[in-house]
Amino acid sequence: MEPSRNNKSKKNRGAPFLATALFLVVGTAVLAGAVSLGDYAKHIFRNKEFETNPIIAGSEDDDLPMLMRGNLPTVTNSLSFGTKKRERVPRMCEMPKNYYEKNPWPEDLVVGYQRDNSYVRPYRPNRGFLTEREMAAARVAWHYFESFTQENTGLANSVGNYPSTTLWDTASYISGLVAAYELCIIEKPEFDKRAYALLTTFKTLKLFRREMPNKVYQTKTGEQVDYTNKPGEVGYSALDIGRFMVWMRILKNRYPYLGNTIDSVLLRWDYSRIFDADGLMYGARIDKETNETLYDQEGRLGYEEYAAKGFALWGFQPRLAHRAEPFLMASIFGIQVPYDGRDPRVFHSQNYVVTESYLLDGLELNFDLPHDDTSPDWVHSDGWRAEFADRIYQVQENRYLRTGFMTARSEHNVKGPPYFTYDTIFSDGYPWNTVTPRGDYAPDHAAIASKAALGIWSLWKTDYSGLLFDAIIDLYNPESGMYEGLYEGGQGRVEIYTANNNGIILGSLLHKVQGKILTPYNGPTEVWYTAFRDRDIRLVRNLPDPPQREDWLPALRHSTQLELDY
Amino acid sequence: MNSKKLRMLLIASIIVAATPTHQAAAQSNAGPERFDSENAVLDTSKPFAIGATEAEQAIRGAFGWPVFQEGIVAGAYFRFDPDGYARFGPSPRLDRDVWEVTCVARTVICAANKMGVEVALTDQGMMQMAISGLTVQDTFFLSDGTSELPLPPRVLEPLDDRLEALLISGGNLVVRRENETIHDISLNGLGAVVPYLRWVANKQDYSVLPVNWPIPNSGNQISKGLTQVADWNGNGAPPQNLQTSWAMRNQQNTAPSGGFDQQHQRGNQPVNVTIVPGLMGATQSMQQAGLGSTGSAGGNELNSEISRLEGQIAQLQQAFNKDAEVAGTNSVGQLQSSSNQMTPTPQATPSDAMGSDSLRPYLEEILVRLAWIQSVLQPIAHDHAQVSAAQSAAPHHSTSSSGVLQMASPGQLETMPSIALNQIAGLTAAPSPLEHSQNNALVPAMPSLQQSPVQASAGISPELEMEKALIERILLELDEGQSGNAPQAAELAPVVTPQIAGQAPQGEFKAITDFLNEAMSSGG
Repeated sequence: MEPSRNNKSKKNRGAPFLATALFLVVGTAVLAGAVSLGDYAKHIFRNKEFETNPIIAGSEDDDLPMLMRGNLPTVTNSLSFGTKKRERVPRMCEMPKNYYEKNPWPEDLVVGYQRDNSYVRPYRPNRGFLTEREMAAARVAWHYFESFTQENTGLANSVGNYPSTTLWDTASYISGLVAAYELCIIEKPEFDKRAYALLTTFKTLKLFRREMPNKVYQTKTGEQVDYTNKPGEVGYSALDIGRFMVWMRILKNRYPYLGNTIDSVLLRWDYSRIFDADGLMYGARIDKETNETLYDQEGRLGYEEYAAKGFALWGFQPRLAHRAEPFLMASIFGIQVPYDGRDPRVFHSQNYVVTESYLLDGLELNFDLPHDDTSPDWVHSDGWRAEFADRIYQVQENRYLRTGFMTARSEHNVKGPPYFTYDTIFSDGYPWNTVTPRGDYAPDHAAIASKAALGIWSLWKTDYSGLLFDAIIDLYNPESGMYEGLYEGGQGRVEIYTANNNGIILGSLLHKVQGKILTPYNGPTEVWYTAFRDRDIRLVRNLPDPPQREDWLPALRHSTQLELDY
Repeated sequence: MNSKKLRMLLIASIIVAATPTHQAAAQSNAGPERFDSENAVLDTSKPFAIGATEAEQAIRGAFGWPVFQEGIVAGAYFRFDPDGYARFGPSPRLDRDVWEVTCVARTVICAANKMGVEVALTDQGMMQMAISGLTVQDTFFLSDGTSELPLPPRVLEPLDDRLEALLISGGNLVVRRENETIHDISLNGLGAVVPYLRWVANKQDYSVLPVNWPIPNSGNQISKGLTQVADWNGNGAPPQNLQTSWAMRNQQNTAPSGGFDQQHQRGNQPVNVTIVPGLMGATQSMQQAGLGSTGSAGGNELNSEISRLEGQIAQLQQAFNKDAEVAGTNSVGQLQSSSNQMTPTPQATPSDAMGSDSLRPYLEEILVRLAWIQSVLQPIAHDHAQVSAAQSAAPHHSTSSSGVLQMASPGQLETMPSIALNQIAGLTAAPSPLEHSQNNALVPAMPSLQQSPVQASAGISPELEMEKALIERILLELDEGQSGNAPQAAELAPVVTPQIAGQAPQGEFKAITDFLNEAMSSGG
């Protein structure tokens, strides 16, 4: 009995050990499995999180430091598609004599909308060296700025010796300055002196309520003034600022050494109220009762898209402002002329159709989209703008053909009351409506606007534009500049001299020599995009990041007119 | 020779009138300087009439008036700026038939223009018209589209209340030269323009507006959001109701004396200068120098001055006629033409004027005396105008043997400048050829008014007929005033009395009681 009891007791002593060992093994295995499973699950969840919630630049989950986002490259056509950028055309005096033979305008173009919604116009521009006659006009036009630029501030007067200006007119001065240099009327020391004087003044200009530049400045002192040129403030104009930004971009891209100065000027401004969420532009004015700032949507078809592209050149996304809608068509002399569809009776803003807004887009931007730095001059990537511009030209030629009135209509100053008119192709329900800013009909002030005539001549090489050229090119006073225009009614010249007129004329002549005035940006990243990355200033002022491909303004097309409409 | 000297005297006065002050004002008015805040002489928040509102305009450029006022009154739409620049027209677009009002910079001296016709106010607040390019042969008519009413040549002189009322009643002003119409200008809207000129000249004082003018109640009629007086940043005083008379205005006016035409310039058009303000300026100078008294001048003193003046004029006339015979020209008519135009057309050069040494002192003395007489006559003429207005309001007529209505006291209503110029030309004693032609032209030029009432009323409404008759009566009274003596009834053209359609012609008029008596007697 004993041995068996001993054997039995030995067996009983070994069982707990085995159980413990087994427990340990199993427990370890389970624990290891759980850990592995947890890690695996964690891995799965982490990966899943990235898949469902991609990090958005600027969001809280953004691992890319804000400091670094400014270093992202601005995505343009050339970067996105790996195509070659447009080459900058040399100054006229530095161009080889056979430049235009080596760079001919293609003969076999297929006109109309292309597959990518770009547009090829049936017209070609005037292209070539300036003739002596054209150079004489260019020199006289530049003489306006020689005569009426203020030494102290570098600002040029808007109208003759009246010491006030706007950003729109200052942009026209820059247009004249660039053209004078590129056409070899002035040399680099003079150009630099003027450019730095102007930009450093802008660097210190008092802003309208610390937001954006005031609408008007006194050119002798650089003070903010009201419309009577007395110290004060009136608000700001998104359209004026948009045009100014077009020329800031032209200046910076052409002359990169000015880049830091230009960036520092623009970085002072507060862009937080100039666009709404849809990308509509807003100007500012003062409520007379409360003295509060009022923000009103600004811009109508023509000007609105041009100014919007000025902002887009600096990374903003004015999506709705860049669209043509809402627009309507008015049939005039067989041409369906587009005009803004917002009813003036409701919105209290006139829908003037004039040449200037389309001209500037064509001369300076070649009717291209802001990200387009590759297409040749005969392709217009902002297609509908070019197609609409052709209508604006054609209806004016048709008016001449049907009535005999030479027509090149724009907004322009006049001497004596009312001093300024919108000399329109269409406005307020009437074709060929010449109205004052307060709405009076003023047909006596209808005129061939010099800037419109020479702009048309530069962009549309036709017999009719040649006629306009002949009417205008010698219309100047050597002491003061090009006259504003020639009255339709036979009253002679519009004897007034303005920065806008002379600046656009110089731009038109420059376009004849060089084509699209805006050149591609060739530098690395810009201070405009990298500044203030360590602070909240960029957020507060709504400063943009470098635009990526998804930020591009869309290329759109609208229905074309196939036959005359009567 | 003498005629040249006379003309040169006129030209010299014109040159004097174009003072440096005026030139400076014109220069400051020629460009964007117009929008200096100092040029804001009006408060656009103060309605010109009930319903007018201040509005803002979108300015694209660097200068301009950010606000203006727009509304409708007396059938005319209008808009005006703080500097007084205004437009009046029959449609809100102000696209046709528009009066354009411009003001001398930084003053309330304004003038309205339409197609060569300029309307302004004299220093006495009287409406005066000027028409460019007139000659002595031109005749004036007021046309209502179906008939024409001849107007006296003094339509170009300061107008009294009745002639002003006639012109602002509407119609077209027709100017003819040898049966050729050289001007046909609508006067529509003048009923709003002239009150506007007065309102502006009196710094937006409602008391100078016509009696039935739709004047807003102070304060509560002014729409919310308009510029308030506290916000007024113009150079002048804040807008307020100023109880000023015309005389007070002349004293308060910051503009240089000399009247509108010396100071006013439209855009780049030539200065429009008239002799009339020059004379007025001379009057003021004399008053300031104490050379003449105004209100205290007695009739004897005036008569003796006139007698002396007539004697001098007679001498001048002799010399003048002698010279005219030598020259073989009738310069009297030309001078008369100049006197009747606000815009004389100089026919000699300033160098000619330098040669008038012999007559210059003589004529200058005459002008000084004329100016003094003008100052004396002015209150008399004003009183007479008031009397005439009262008579118009309460008719006090006697009927002549021919049934023509005549005023009980047809005094001379001519304004002083015209008297003076007529006297210079020797026209006081005998009417000028121009006046003769005008008076003679009355008869043949009024065919529609001379036809029988039945004929006249055939195609014209009774209201129009009555209005025409009233206008005729006013014109008749004016002619009486101009000729100085009440004309003989037989010399006058037949005058149409108010007729209602179907009424018996004038010669057949019978009182209804007489008619009934006759009927009863014949029937009996």
